[in-house]
Amino acid sequence: MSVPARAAAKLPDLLREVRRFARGILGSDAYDKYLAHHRVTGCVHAPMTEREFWRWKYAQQDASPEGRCC
Amino acid sequence: MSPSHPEDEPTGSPDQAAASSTAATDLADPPPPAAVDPEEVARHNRWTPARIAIWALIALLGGIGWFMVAIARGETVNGLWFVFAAVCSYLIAYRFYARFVEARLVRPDDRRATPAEYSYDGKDFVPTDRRILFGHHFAAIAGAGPLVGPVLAAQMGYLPGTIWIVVGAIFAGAVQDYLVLVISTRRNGRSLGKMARDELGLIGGIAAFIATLSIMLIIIAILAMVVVNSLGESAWGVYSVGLTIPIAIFMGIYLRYLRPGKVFEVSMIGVALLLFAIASGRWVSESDWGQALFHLDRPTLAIIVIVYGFLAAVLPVWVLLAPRDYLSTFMKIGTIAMLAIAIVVVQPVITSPAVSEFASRDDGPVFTGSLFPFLFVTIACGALSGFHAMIGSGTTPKLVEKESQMRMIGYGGMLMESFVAIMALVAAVSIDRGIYFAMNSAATATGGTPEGAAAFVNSLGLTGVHVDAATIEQTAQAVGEESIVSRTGGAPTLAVGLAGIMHKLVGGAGMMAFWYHFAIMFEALFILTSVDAGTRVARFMLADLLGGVHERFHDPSWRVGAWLTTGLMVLGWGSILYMGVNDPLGGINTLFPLFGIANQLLAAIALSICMVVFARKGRTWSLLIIVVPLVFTAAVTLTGSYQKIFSSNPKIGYWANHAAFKEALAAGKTSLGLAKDVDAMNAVVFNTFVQGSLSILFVVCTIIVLVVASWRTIQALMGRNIIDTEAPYVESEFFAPTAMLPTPAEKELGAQWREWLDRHPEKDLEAAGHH
Repeated sequence: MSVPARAAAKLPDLLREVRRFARGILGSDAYDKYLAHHRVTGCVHAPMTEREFWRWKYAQQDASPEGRCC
Repeated sequence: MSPSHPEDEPTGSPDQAAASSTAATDLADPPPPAAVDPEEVARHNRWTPARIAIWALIALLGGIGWFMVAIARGETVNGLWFVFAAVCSYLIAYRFYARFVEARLVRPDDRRATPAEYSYDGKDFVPTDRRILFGHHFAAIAGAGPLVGPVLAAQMGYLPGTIWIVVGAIFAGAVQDYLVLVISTRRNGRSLGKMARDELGLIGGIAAFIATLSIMLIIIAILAMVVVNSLGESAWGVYSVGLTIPIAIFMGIYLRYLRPGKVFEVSMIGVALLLFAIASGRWVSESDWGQALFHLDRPTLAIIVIVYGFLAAVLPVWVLLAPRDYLSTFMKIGTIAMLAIAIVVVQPVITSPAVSEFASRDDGPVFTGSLFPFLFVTIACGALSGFHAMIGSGTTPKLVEKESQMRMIGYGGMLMESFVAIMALVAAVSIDRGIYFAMNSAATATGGTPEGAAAFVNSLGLTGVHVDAATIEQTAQAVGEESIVSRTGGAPTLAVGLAGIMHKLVGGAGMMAFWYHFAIMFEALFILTSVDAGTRVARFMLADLLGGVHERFHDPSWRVGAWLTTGLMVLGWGSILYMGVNDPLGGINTLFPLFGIANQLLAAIALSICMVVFARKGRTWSLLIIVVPLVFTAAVTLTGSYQKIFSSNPKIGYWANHAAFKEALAAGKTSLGLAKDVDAMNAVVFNTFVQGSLSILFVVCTIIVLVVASWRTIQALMGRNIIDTEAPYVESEFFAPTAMLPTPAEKELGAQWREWLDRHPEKDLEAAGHH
């Protein structure tokens, strides 16, 4: 393939990486991490739905707040 | 560490079954090594001619940059040289000094499991890709500090500030951030306060706790004052920043009820609404109703911020704090990237001198006191920040995959913060010096009018500075404000500088007002998030303390207790804010040194804890890596505190000022210096009392910590009182590369791990299948 064609073929991968980064930095992949943990530890009961999870997560943040710098 | 399989039939006890199944797995199909063979690492790191050439080039470029910035004495200097000097210095420091610190002091062991692995729980403890973690850590520590401090420090010319921001970060700030991250990670992610208690004992722990809590309140108060000063008498500003509240609430409701978890999506909507808020501000500020509603003076704004601070901290997180947090993370990273690109493309020409007339004096209009120690105190977060140690020992240690990654995240993160400070400095010195002083001198000195400001600035006797009222008014109009005179606190000055640079990149002269208010908005956004988050953390610290007296305080769902503790903390910082806003001597100018000293004292405490920890691990000469910056920071803060408390010069010493005003009142005078009536004089008497008392509190706590830490270090060096507070060693069954990009050996090992994890998906803690 020519150079521009190869670059174009790599573009969806690049965008996927950028999306992964953005989600990681913002913290929006928290639900995915929860599901992964649920699967890895072989939990038998059903995982929380996304709605339940986020409510629980924000309640957790209420209970143990994190500072934001100066 | 193996999770048990529910499908396994327990033959004996469940533990036995789990153990035997693990043992069976290990024998039959052991995992690949957890780290690349050290010989292979050494082979990869050897010096090739290409490498030598690259580093020689970087050193050369950096050298030229520093020459142009520090030594060449032309009429002007180009802002780009600052970027080259700083970036090349950072690269060299990261490659050589940070590696030295790593090898001699830290000695990371990649075969040792980090808390993310052994305490893995899918919520707080999750192994996170090092590059994402770098971004997360940087977003957590980045704030208004590196933007405000360097702007104020520009009073002394650009050179002293530039040198300290770069050199201080390399030898002190980044070292502190890195080492605190290391010691916290090796203790299952313990917080700084708990580590202080462990290493320094009861008295040291209490002193550290008092220092931390009071310093946090001061930092919140000063940051709030920066916002109040930038929004005072600015209808456009109050409107746009005020609109962030309904925008955040809307985002919160959207995330909770409409589309849970779609954070990126809602953030994009939020940012679009923000930009609309900034753009529509011009129309609102020019209308009558806009002026009536949003044109507010600073005392009123202070009350509003205090009420907001209380409400935001008692409301659930999902309503205001979390959405604001997403918005400010977006804005932080986006704006910093934009500013970097702008400076590189626009290459602003700096006309300010390298070292100004005030560098050798102690009576500057922006901040009083001589270069040592007050330059270092003013720059604070840009070079060394104790607050980072608190934040950095929060979530990051629980997410780190491998010990060898901490150099990149801890040291590298602070270097990036320092780079932000350099850019803020470049933006600040790119504006005309006359305007700079007109904006940053106290209102009581300039009289609050362009004519008064021009007269005051021209009377300062600065070479090449002659400003007239018309230019000041024109600049104000260009940025869409009624007046820029005495807009102290650093944020408006940075905004003017940023607008001056950005409009050349995007939009032209017509967009200057948009860029100015964009800059004001973005600082206000994350300062208010810090205020909210900081109040919550302070409230929990207080609740922990009160819990010892009345059990119910430990229960976070007890509403009355939450309201009480929040109210007390808001009262704490609110009173300082209100006092500062009404201070006749120009609140931010007198209080900022207190903020800087507080921050550096916290840094001294953090470094002391690191010193004790590493002394107890048996390090000897390599302790100098910590001791040298610690001694310097202690010297700066103790000298600063000493002068603030004991100096007989009323312009510097809080108590001297206090005494002078008390005497004047007793003698029946009705005005003194910048206080024009008896009420103002009484205000100064009270304010200086508070400032003086706080200074004494901070310095006493810090001296206690320094003494206890030094004593315990000496004991450790003599082989006594050695305790090991590290979490037990756990063998790692996880692999992750070290640096930004994986080496060929790491790619190969990563491929082996991927194959193994495909056969054992229950061990795949990161589960996303990347590297």
